[in-house]
Amino acid sequence: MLAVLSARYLIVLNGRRTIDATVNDNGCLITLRKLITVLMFLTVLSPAAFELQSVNTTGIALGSISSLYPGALNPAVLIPEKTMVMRTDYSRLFGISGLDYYQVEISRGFRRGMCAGMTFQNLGNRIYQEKTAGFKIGSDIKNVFSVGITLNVYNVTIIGYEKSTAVGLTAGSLWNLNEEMQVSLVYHNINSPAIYHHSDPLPECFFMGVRYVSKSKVEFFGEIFKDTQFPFSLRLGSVLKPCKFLDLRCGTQFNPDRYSGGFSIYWRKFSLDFAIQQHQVLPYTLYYGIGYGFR
Amino acid sequence: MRTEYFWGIAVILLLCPALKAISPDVLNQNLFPEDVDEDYLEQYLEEFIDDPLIWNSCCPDEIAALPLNEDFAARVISAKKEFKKINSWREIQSTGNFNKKEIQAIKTFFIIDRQQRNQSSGFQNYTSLKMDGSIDIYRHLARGKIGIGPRLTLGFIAENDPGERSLWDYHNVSITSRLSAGNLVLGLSSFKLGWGHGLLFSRRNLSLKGNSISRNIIASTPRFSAYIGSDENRYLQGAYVNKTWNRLSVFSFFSSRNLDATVQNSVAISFRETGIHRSATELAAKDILKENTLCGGLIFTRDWFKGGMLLFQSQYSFPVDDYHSQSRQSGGSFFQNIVLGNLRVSGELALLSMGEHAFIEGFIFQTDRCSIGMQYRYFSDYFGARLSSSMKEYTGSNGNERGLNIGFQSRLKKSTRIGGYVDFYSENRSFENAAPPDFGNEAVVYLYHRGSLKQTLNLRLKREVSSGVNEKYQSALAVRYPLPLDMSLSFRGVVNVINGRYGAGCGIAISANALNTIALTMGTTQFYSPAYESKVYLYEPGIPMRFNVVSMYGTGSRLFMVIEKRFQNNIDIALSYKHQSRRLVDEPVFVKTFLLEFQMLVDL
Repeated sequence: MLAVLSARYLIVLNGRRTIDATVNDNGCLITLRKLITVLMFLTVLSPAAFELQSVNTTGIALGSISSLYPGALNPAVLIPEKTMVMRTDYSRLFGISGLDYYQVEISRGFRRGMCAGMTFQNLGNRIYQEKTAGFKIGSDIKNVFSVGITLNVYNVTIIGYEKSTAVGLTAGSLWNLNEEMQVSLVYHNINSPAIYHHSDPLPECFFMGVRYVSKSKVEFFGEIFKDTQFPFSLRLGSVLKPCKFLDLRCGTQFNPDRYSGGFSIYWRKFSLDFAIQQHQVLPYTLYYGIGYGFR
Repeated sequence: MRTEYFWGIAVILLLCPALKAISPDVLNQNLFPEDVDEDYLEQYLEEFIDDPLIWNSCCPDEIAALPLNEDFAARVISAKKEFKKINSWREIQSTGNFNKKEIQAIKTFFIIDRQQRNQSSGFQNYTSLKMDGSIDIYRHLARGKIGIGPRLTLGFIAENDPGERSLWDYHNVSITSRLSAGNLVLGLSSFKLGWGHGLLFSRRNLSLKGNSISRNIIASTPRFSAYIGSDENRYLQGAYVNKTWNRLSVFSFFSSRNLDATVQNSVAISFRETGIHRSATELAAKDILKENTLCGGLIFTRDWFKGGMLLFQSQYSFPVDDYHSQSRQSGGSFFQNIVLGNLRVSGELALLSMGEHAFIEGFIFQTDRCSIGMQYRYFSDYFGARLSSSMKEYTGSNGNERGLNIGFQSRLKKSTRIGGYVDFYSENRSFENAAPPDFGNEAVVYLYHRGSLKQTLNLRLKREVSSGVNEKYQSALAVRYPLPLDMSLSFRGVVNVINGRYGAGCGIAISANALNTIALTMGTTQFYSPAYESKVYLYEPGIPMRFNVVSMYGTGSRLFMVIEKRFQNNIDIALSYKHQSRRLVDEPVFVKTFLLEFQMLVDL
């Protein structure tokens, strides 16, 4: 019989952000040796799960901006009509074995400004896994703004412990101020979902972002991110488009302070993305993404 | 010389590109400031903005009840008499009696016809960041109204107060359907009922004594309105129906709500009205008290008479201490507005179970040049209704008050007005052993002048003497002067003297519309108030549609800057930065704080 230690190793991902891990006594501690090392840097204790909302490579390169990019959190960021988009992103957080995170997304734009899609995310290893399946729908209204909603099904699987599932709703909007500026608003988990018999509430977050597309080849992004349990975070990013097939990105986020950068290469209907994100204490994290029909 | 100056400004204005931005001093210019809680004033303003008057069908009394200064309200009433029905605001603008900012203010409180109400859609997002020790999001609010076809309107609001765990800790939806050319109105989810003088159900007015004698004395027109305000307590939730025939209107509603309350020993000892749910105590009190209310009534209208009556019953899941520890409260109300030439008589009588009662009765004599009125009010010792908001001195307690309010206002010249009131008040009894009932009086005089260059002057003097406070004097001055290049300069100052202790504050602001589609206002406020009781309330330019009264205690200064821009899709963005450096008089170190506010208003 597995004696579940029910230890929740709280691993600092974004400084204060944490994920959970449960360890049993059948030898798995060996595979988690690096995790234990990470514990030395713990600054915050929290029972929360599903703290990492998106692993979208392009957004990560922009300082983790999540509300203004297709394929990230905001279901109101639409893709063009009659277009199919498929993309996948992958990362091994801090280079630690066992903290593999991947995300798959399929979206399609329909007539009259409608858009629908599905996402699947997985974080963790064979001992501890967070899975999220999302179904989203969005619509353009009067070419002034777009709104969308995502239904997320969260599942936590821990070996030797019961599974738990919860359903969360994310509502988003994107406002076109003019041809150069957009404002985004995203409310994540508005229905206050909780796992494990409502004992473990999932993060509830608010995003407000601004995008400025200058007439030159540069775009600027800014975002306020607020998890109701933590102080807010400011995120800034920019994209330089030196040529048709290349985007260069850089960004930073404050509180916690982290820098990031990356690039995208476009070839026909394919896009290849890469991002690197710094952490003040832990090793760098690399992100990889590939998309089809994106451009 | 003055004429040349005026024409010079006029020529410059004509040469300027079209100014689309709403100036932040639209409301500053036309709304009256009062020394009350900022949140309360915002919620008060919301009621008017969320449910604007219909120009083509409203009456002068309803216009008089709007929170506009006397001169502006009089000009709007005059315009209403001249243009009873209009097709566009240009008709009113063409008279030349209103400048662009004043037209903006009219558009804030009116829509042209009923059809426009159902077709209009809009959205508001307000987010603020505050630095008070640490920087964090202070408040977030999203609110919208969607007209779905000619008969259906949907409204919603979601708000998060600082420190609350739930992202949409407070959220609400309202659905309103108008059938049979508006004669049958059905409402679902959250709504409000405005009734008489607000003895049982809040009327569209402050529960404070305002400068306007007509606002104080004449009962508001009863009406249901969809509720998407940010007050988390003072509304109903359920369904209502209102059917209107020629002169008769019949209504009924059912409301079922869970209220915040403190419950001890299975008795609700108090309602909790802050709407904040952070601590374990606050969370435990959230939605703990169930309230079911059933109500019905009728309103009869003739040219010279408007009256109505209603009966209601509320059932609570716990006995309520304020209601004689009963779990049921029932009652009724009758109100009347009678017009006899220049004389108007208005009042309301409310009866509650367990013998509690209250009544308000008053009259006002109005001519073109002057008005004079008087009102008597009486609240029995334990008279209290959860949604009441009648004019009272002791607003923090249920009932136990009587008072007499005598007021006047007069137009000295076309653009100069003077007015004021004296209010005598007293408790019926004291609940403290061997202590006499509190009593006192309050006198207010104000002067308003608008000059030929559209410069304005507001002067308000107040004196209050009571057995508890002894003496309190307050003088407030607000001056606004237009400058070339569509700029304006404004000054506001307040001096308080309470029991010999002084408190003072003054602010100066400059507004500019010279930049295309961008309006900029900036200025500073200085204050000195050594004692808490003499703290200063002063109006500061800020985010539009929000009251920006700040309370200041200690000494220090404030800096503020407001930027507004209108974008092409009828989207108005406003950004406000306010910095305060303050210390207590006996402390050496200044504490610095700031508030950064963002608002997006979308008119679809």
